[in-house]
Formats: sequence, structure tokens, C-alpha cells
Amino acid sequence: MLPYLVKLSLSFTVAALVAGRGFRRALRRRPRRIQNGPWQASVSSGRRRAGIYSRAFAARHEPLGLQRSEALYFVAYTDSDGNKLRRGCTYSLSGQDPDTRWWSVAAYNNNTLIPNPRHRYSYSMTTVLRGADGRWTIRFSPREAGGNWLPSATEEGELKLVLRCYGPGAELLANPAAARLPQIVAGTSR
Amino acid sequence: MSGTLYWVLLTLALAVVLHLAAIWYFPRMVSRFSARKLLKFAGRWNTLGYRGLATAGRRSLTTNPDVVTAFGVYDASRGPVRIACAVPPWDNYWSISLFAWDTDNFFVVNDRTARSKKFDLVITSRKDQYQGSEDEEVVVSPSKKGIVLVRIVIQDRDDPAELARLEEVLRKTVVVSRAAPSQSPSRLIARETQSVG
Repeated sequence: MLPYLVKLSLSFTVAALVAGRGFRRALRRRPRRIQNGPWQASVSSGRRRAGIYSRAFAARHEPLGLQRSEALYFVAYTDSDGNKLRRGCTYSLSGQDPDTRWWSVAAYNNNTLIPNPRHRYSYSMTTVLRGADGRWTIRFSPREAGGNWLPSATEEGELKLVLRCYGPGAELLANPAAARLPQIVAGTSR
Repeated sequence: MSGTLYWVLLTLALAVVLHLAAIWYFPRMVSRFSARKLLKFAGRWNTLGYRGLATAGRRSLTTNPDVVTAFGVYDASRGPVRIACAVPPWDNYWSISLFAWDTDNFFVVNDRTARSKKFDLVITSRKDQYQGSEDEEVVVSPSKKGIVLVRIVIQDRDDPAELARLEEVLRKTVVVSRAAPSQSPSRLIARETQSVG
């Protein structure tokens, strides 16, 4: 009896270790995403029909996100050339208003806002300065710049941009992968 | 040999079951942690709380710097929960959204899809048979407990006057009572406002 219990305990321990490893990997692995240039969006936002893996990933990385019909969240980890976004570097985000009722773009260090003395964390449809043609450019850089400037932090590390579209229009909802979203172009490093 | 195979297969089967159970349970665990955090600010179940705009260096419910958010944890296990909703008269995006215990956003209504500028949202669990009136939006929650969020987009977070206006709207959106359609929302709004930090 005792050897059986020992073997059972061993089996359970090994199973728990394997399951835990798989669990951590599953939470890191992104479920199927919509890709639009450097921007990614979740396919199963809203999540009523999401599988258990998508739901677990969303609970970890996108908690309390709204249904896709209500809001689309685009996340960028790279610039338009596919290079990883880095804090301490300079980027230009330029484009025109997406097909949505209201949008905003914010920069993050991991999942936290980047501290800066001006408490400037984002630009939105209502705060961005535009050119005569309605287009706009937001500049991310560690040092303060004129116009639409957002601090990209002074220390090195990964940078994440989030474009939130509340009340997405029919065109954006129907085909977010083909929507005209802002381009992210790298400037010079500091 | 067959004994070894037995233990290998048993271990594999156990690993699969444990893995799937962990993946299934994880969102519910996140809800438990979120609820615990929210209850610290809201004070108690079935009450809305507010923590101000998100800023760097401060743990916040939302990482969106352009919304003011009221939040709470509902418990419909002992009867329907009623929320008196106040929609802002301006064209700022406003929404009230409900999240089941498995983190699914099972209900959302915004300022343009709301039935009126003032309405009651009644959350019931599956077992309840609640007959709503015309002024009520009755929602059946897939879980007895869940999270409620009220979001209002702030057009310029540097404008203190706009922030004050939006916070005033948030204060008017309150959990009035468990069901009890006969209670007067206005009296309870005044009482509950103090707890909406």
C-alpha cells in the first residue's frame, strides 16, 4: 500500500509540475490576433464564445475589456518596420482618425503608464493637434518636444502603445485588419 | 513494463486534467482578486467606488488615462441588484458594463444605446424570475457575482472643470438597492454618494 501511495504522490507531483509549466506557457502565448501593420487586436474581444485559453489570456493581459462591438483595443509592440518598440527611443505615430466615435493612444511600460512631470500619458481625438488636412503626428521621445509630445521614458526597456477605439464604426468592425491605422516610424535613438 | 506504462499514462492524464482545470479556473481567480481589490475602494458589495483618473505610479483599476471609471462588485445571490444609471447629457462616451465571474463582458450599454438618460439596470441571477417595468433594463447574469464598471471618456484630462462635471455624473450612478422597485432612488442617491470615493 505504502509504495503505491508514494508512487501516486510522485505521479501527482510530476503532473502538477508539467501542468504548471503548460499553464504558464499558455498564459504567455497569444491567441489568434488581428494583425494590421504593427497593431494587434484580439479576435475574441467580448469573449462570450471565447475558448478557455483565450479567456485565460484576456483575464491576464486585458482584464475588464469591453466587447468588440463596443471598443476595439489595438496594441503595438513593434514599429511599422517590425522592430521592437523601446523606451528611450524616438518614434512618430502619424495618421488620421480611425473609423470610430472616439479614440486615444497611450504609451506603457509593461502595463503601467510612463511617469513624467507633465502627467501627459495619452493623446486622443479631442486633444491631438492636427494639420490643415486633419492628419496628425504624435511624437514619442524621452526628451520634451513641441506639438503632440508623449514621453517614452528615459530608461531603456520595452515600450507598448495602445490605441483604443470606442464605438468603432461598421467599416472598422467589419475588417479591422484592413483599416487605416496610424503608422509607427522610428526616429533617432537618444 | 505494464506497471511503468500505467504510471506514465496516469501522470499524463493527471497533468492534462490539472492543466485544463488551472486554465479554466484562472479567470475566476482573477475576478476574485479584482473583487477583493475593488471592495477595498468601494467599501462593500453592491456599491460603486471611484478612484480618480489613472496616473503613473498609482495602482489603478484601469490603465486608460482618458476615462473616469466607477466600479463595484455585485452579488445577485440574494435577489436582483438595482443600479440607478445617469447618462451624461454631453456627447462624451459613457457606458455601463457587467463582467461575469469568468471575466466575460456579458452586458454593455452606452450613452447612445441606453433607453433614456436615466434608467434602472436590474441584475438578476438565472434563478430569479424578475419582471421588469418599462423604465428598467433587466439583465440576467451568468454568475451570481460579478463586476460592474461605469466608464466616461474625458475629452481633456487637464481640464478640472470637465473632470468635476463627469465625477458628478458618476456620483449619480449608484447601486440603489437589491430589487425593491418601490424605493426612492433620489433619497438613496444622496446617501450612497458619500461612499463613492
